Amino acid sequence: MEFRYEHADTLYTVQLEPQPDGSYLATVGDRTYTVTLQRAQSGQFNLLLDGKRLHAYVAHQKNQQTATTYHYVALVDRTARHYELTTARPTASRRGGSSAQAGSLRSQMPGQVMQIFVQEGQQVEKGQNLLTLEAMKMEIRVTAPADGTITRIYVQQGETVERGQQLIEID
Amino acid sequence: MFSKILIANRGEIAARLIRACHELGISTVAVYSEADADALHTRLADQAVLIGPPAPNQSYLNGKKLIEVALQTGCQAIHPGYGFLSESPDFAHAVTEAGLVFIGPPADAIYQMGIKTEARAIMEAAGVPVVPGFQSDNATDADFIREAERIGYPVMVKAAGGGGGKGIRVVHDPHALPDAIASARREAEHAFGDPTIFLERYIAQGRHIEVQILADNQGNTVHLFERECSVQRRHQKIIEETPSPFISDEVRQQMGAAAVNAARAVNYVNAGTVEFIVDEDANFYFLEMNTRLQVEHPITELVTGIDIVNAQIQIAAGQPLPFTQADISQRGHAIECRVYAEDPANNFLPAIGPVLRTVNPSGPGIRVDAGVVTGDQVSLHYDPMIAKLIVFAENRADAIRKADWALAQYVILGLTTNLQFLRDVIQHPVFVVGEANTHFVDDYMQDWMPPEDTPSDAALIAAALGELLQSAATISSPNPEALGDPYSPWSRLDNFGR
Repeated sequence: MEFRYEHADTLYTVQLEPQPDGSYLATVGDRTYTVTLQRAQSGQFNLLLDGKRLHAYVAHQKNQQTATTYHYVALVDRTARHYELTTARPTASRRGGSSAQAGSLRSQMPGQVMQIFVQEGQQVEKGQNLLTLEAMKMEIRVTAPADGTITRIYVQQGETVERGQQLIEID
Repeated sequence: MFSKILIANRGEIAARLIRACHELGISTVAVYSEADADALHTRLADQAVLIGPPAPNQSYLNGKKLIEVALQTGCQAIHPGYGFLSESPDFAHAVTEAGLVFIGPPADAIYQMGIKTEARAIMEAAGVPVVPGFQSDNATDADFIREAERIGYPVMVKAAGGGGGKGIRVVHDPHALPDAIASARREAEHAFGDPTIFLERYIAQGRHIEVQILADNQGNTVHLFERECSVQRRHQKIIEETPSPFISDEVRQQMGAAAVNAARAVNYVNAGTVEFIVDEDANFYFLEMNTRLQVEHPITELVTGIDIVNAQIQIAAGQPLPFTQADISQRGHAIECRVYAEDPANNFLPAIGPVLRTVNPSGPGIRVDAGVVTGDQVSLHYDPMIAKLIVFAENRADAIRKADWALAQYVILGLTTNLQFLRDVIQHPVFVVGEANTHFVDDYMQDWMPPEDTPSDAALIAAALGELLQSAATISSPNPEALGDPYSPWSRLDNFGR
């Protein structure tokens, strides 16, 4: 079976072929590994990868709004790491609307718009304070990434915004 | 002793308090906002009562409602935890007026320590040095600017009603002061229900060292030694340890004695913490007294063997301290790492979402006080601290190694967390030699990035196995409805088989 993942705009393909002895042959790119599962239950694996011991925890969840499935992996050993991947989107829809557009500022966190300091049509300088967001009792300033003109303000004071929601457009 | 206590808090501290009560055979009533209907503390307590919408000032800060619930459910006492109403003298007073016991200091002591100018005067009388500052209820921006000039820049704008780093701004330049005051006020209003702020000189190369005290109703006051809390981000502590690697035994004893004097000066009862800023020459200055349980209380528990929450409940029930100062000693070394749902590589922006899986590290000297477990949500309404990892070992080097190992074993899936950041902090050469001051994160961790970003083959294979075996499990699991077997383990509402 083939599984395709995406991370930082790079595609990764994993082939898993069950073997008669209960192990799997795993292929990532041009590398092939023998995977022996010693214990596998509810997202927790004790396995041998070409004889090397590995403890892994995995979970995944589909974000209904963006229709993207996120995969989370924790490898627990002396150099433990957590990873976040997404299921690769079909090539046709890649580079679709979800990446940041030039001149369009999006909220990096869910929160509430506390104050808006600019108006449509206003000239702004790089670094100028455009609005403040509040979440978890913290204030986050959204500043102009470059000099330009405010062409559109999508939000109002007091409005609750989601992560990734468009806030302001600068030309 | 009490038979039922209302826990006026949420998150990890509510869970800690509920468990402490249950251990003593005391029933608990949790309160929760609409956002916390399924939260851990709501599930742990014997009873749980909805108190309002998610916004803190309509739920966890609604003192009247909390007292009402305590009376209706037959509680004899209220434990406020930390944050929220824990340092509100009005709330402590109202609890007492309602015939309930406030598990914390008397309202007068909270009030005196809460007014920083008054606290400063009391400290000076008790012979404890204080940091120059300014506070006034009706001061204008012009007053603040004038006073800031007198104190000398940089100055700190701090929330008078607060703690926990909320509402703090460092200002280097008079022009930035009005803006800093306005935004600190808003944050303070939202977090503590009180917009009052004050100014204090900013001691640039300072260390934040605090002393835990316990006092009973019989007039016994003891200290439980110090906690070093210098590693902070956004003026909020992220790593604490005890003993402090910086101070000598002589300074330790002086600070302990000063903290006891400070507590006695306001007739303090119950657990409290006296915070000091310590300069490069080990001169210590009183900053403030936190008249409540601290987030980092567990490190003191591990080196002294004293359960501070248990002691709080006993003291509130009128019992004398079962030990004297001479009975208390510090043994070994303890470190606490605060686990936050946030992105350290992106200006510590909070992360929210579902916790798909948590696996706590465990072993000798490893303790996790968590506010969320697998299946819980981290919401945008409250503090993003999700757990505290606390380790204990014979010495500092062993404690650092144990903390690093435990952080590596800690699994939190579904959210961005600071686990890797914490590992890199405690392994940083400056931290390892005990030289980290309050600037450590700004000076050494500002450009921190996760060590490696591309997924390893092992990670990719694990993700694929997760998908493959999950689909296999779905096909092979018996369906209890189809089998018509109500006694099947698959129909039990627990974790069996999941």
